[in-house]
Amino acid sequence: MVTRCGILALAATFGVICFAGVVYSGQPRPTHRNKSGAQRGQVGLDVSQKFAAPGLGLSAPAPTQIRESSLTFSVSPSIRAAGDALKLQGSVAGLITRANITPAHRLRHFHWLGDSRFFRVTGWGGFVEEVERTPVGYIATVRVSPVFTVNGSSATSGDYTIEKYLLSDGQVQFVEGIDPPDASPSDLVTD
Amino acid sequence: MFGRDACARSILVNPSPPILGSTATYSIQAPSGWQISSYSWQYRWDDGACVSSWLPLTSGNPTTATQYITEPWPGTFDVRCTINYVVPPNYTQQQTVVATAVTIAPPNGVRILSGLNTPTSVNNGIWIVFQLQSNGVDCGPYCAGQARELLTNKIFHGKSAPNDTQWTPPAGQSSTVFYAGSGRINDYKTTTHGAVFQSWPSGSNYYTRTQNIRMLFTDACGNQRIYSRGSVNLANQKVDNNN
Repeated sequence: MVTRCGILALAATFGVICFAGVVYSGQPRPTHRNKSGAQRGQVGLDVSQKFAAPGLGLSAPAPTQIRESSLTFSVSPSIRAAGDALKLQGSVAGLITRANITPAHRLRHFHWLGDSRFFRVTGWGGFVEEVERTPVGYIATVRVSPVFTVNGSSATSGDYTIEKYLLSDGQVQFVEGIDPPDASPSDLVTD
Repeated sequence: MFGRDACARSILVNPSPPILGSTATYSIQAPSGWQISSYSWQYRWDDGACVSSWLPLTSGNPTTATQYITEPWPGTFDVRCTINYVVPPNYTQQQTVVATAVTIAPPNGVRILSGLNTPTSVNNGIWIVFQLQSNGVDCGPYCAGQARELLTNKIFHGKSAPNDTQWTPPAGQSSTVFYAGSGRINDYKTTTHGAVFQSWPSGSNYYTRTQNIRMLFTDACGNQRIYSRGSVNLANQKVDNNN
């Protein structure tokens, strides 16, 4: 993996606030997977470097915890789904929403949002990308993004993660999380 | 003779109805031949959800026949003018109360004054200025309340992004990047460009969304009132790798 720290600039009324971000220098970003159970550990990004002290007086170490306890996870069908696929995705999305699972993989992936000086995560949103029928149940692939604010403004990031869920007998189980190669926290807009 | 019947006149309101956030004139013409000692102007909220006590129509001492006031809140109000007359000794004090109801239409829309078609870069955010409107008429500049937004239908770099879950800024919290003032909403938008933006084709929209806007204020009874300002669809189009 070839990575380097870049500087993201977030202009706010107070001036310009910068923080370090990860950008990728042309080579494909490896896919990190985090299977549920024992395979956690050596996964995810090196977030301690990802948002290192950026300067402009922001030298204090960044907090590293998203307070996830009260956050809801709302899943929707793909906006491109239609017909029977839309019906199936709608059912699956409803079940996953009600399960309201917050995998540790997700918290690690979006670790950069733990800096409460800038960010406030208000929820999680997901879109079903695929539903696969298997002998043990349905496997749903969900693209997950944070719902958050930057300095109080609504914000949207190019960062996302892929989560797979097993739906069987009305139960929802997190299977694995994937860090997609084109997820890009450096792409960010505030409204 | 001092009688109430001779004094009944109506209150003239101009414009009628008043426009939210604008200045309105309330005036009354007393009958000739009567010597006025004073006028007393009051108003109260009276629209079901809130019937307040009577309050002075303006700050200070509203004792003249014509009042120039601003209309910061939507709703239905009662306005009354009490006319006190000069009476000879040994006569009972006489007064006339004239009242009217005024309804000020709530805000229900915005139009964009400036900020469109402006490139944004890492170091150059943009201000979008929304002009508040009520039934197609510009409001202001004296509108009260807190402006709030909620973004939906987001498509960022070709992928759907989740809707906002909360209106921002939170109720009662000020914001320096999204706020109302002088009948307008000022909204600062920023962007940072990463690897996906760099590979995005110039001339294409890289971000579209619907921006829903509302106003929140507290009436004289302490009730929080929410009025939608409608919504606008906005798009960010890539110009080049920096904008």
